[in-house]
Amino acid sequence: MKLYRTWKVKPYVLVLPALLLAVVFAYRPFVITILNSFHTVNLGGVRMQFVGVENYQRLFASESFQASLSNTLRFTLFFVPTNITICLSAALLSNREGKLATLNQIFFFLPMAVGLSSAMMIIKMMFNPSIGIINHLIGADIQWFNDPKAAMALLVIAGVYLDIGFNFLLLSAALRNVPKELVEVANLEGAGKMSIFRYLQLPLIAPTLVFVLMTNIKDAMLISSPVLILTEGGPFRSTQTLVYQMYLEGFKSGNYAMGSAIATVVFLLTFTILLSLLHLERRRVYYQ
Amino acid sequence: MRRLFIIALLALFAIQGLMALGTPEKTNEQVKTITWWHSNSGLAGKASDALVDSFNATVGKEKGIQVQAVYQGKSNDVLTKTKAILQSNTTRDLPDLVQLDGSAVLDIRDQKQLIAMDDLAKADGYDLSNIIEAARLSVTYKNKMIAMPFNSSTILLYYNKTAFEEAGLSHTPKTLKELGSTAKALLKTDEKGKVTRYGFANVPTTYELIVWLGQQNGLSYITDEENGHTGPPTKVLFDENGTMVNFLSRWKELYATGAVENLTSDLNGAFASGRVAMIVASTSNLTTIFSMVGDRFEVCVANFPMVDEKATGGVNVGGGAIYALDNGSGNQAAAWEFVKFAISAEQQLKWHVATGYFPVHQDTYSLQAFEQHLAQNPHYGVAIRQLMASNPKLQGIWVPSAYQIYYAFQSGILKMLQENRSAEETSKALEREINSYFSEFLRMQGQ
Repeated sequence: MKLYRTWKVKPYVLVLPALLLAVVFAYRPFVITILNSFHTVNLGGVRMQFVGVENYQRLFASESFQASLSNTLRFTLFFVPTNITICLSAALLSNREGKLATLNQIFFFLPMAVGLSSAMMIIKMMFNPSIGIINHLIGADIQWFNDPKAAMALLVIAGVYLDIGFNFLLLSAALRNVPKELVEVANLEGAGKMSIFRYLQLPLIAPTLVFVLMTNIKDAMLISSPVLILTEGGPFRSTQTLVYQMYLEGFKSGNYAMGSAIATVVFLLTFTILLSLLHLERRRVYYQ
Repeated sequence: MRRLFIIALLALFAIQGLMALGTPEKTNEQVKTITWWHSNSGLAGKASDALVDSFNATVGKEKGIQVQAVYQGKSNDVLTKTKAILQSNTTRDLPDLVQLDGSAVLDIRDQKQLIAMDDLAKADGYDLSNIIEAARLSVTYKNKMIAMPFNSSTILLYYNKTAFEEAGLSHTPKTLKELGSTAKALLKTDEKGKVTRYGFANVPTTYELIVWLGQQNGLSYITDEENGHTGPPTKVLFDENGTMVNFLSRWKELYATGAVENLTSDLNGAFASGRVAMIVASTSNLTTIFSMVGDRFEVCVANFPMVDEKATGGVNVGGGAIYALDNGSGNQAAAWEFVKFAISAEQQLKWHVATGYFPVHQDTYSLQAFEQHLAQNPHYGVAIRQLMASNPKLQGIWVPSAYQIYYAFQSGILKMLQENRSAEETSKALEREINSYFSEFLRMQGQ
């Protein structure tokens, strides 16, 4: 009897530390954020008054928020396909035997080992329009930080660089798990590289691909650190993303209610997109 | 094996605890330690270390005060850290002194832990009129000097003198109109018509507009409550007093010359590479720009161009100031001793020579060493003469949502230029957007 009881307590004790951390650092802030977004909150972070959806109304009416929303969606639209194409091509190209292939894989994987901030600082120097190496190499005079289009492109480049290591790792592991016999059989039957990819590899790596797609969308919707370091939302708000605006409102302007409202919007938006994708995945992707 | 490892780890922690216990407490009651958080790096960092060292070796030693200078990152980072402590109410972690820039005022001015420099000076019988008026007013809130101006700067016109000579230009532009004709003369294109050198580059935003709007008609306020210096602003005044429309019309003419590039970042780089012949920037960029340009061409500085002949207000004082905070240690008087030392005529001269920030103490200007320094470095003299001729009441704006306002100006002006909107329309749109930030702020504070 006594033994039975200790067994019943043990799982709770074991889950407690993780639960505690989750409550303190995730669930509680989550609830507070949603609460704040329905109140006015003063500079000291004290909730003053319940205002219903007024914060949201003001938010959607503001030009700055509209810019952030459209920038974030634009970024996601550019970033996700570019990133997946590049990571998948890299994984396919380096999916072979031999020492050189390993070296290749290491190169693709390497960006993961460089800290985000340091990488962004280096990119900032490389893309400096007047003294940077990139303009010098391509012999162009692109105003990376002054032209809205170029700044968005730069952000996509930075985003791809940040994600390539991890995505490459996942995709290349998935490709390796494709049974070699099947590929050999297909080869013997005279299938070309394209059809092997299309009919054999792609269906088999689909679950991983969906995972990569989802994390990419999440990363794109929540992008802020590269913006913070590279462009600070400029020029002319053209790279001001939702989470960057949340940072501005909450931490720079001390407007916690607005910051919370933005955070809630970002959460709902990302959550909806991911849910609908998940729905699609259930119907289209088959697990082995 | 794993258990052994855990035990070893625990033992290590325990030993560390013991070691912390053994750290000798400062037993010397006579010596008061003052902490000063600052954001001075590079040349300014060396200069502030030298300042602290010389205080600790002289006045500090005499009076039993030791200052500990802590570099806390950029000005923004210093503010973030200070704010975090103020909000968490762990007052005793606050530094005694903290150096912050203008954007910090709104967050700090109403904190109960802030000790106004005005009060510290009064307690010591120090005459604050020793500090030059424009600098003093730049940190005055509700008629009280809340901080001590320390790293003060103003805006200047930097120009490529070699390009000026090449274009046969003999004098620098005094007004925006002249800036247009000068820029046009400096414009260079290649055979294909592509611009290889712009005359001027800028998209005006808060920093420039404080001056270009404020200097009109001798002195014009940008927001009510005297640019936010007597309380939180409730509305902007630039539309109703016409200063914005006047400025925007002149800016449109300037842009129409085709010699102005809409550059928003890395202006120093564009200038140093010779792609842009004139820029406006803070005096605190003097050393950086000179070293970036090297001997590629000759750099000179001149007064910041006025909007028009009637805009006689001059320029304002920007930069940072030192704030005293109450962390419960009762070190206020000791902290004041250091502040007094740091702004003394001699120390301000050293600080100026090392960093380019201009001296805030009146007496520095009559020191012989200062005159010698100016004779050798005439560029510094330009900024100082410009400031002395300015209306000291021309001051920066203390507004909520400063970042949003910054981008509102920038994108509003760009829209006007690219979509060919009228100056009136742009001014109205800016008024609407910025006023909404003000009302948003007041709404949040429950006012």
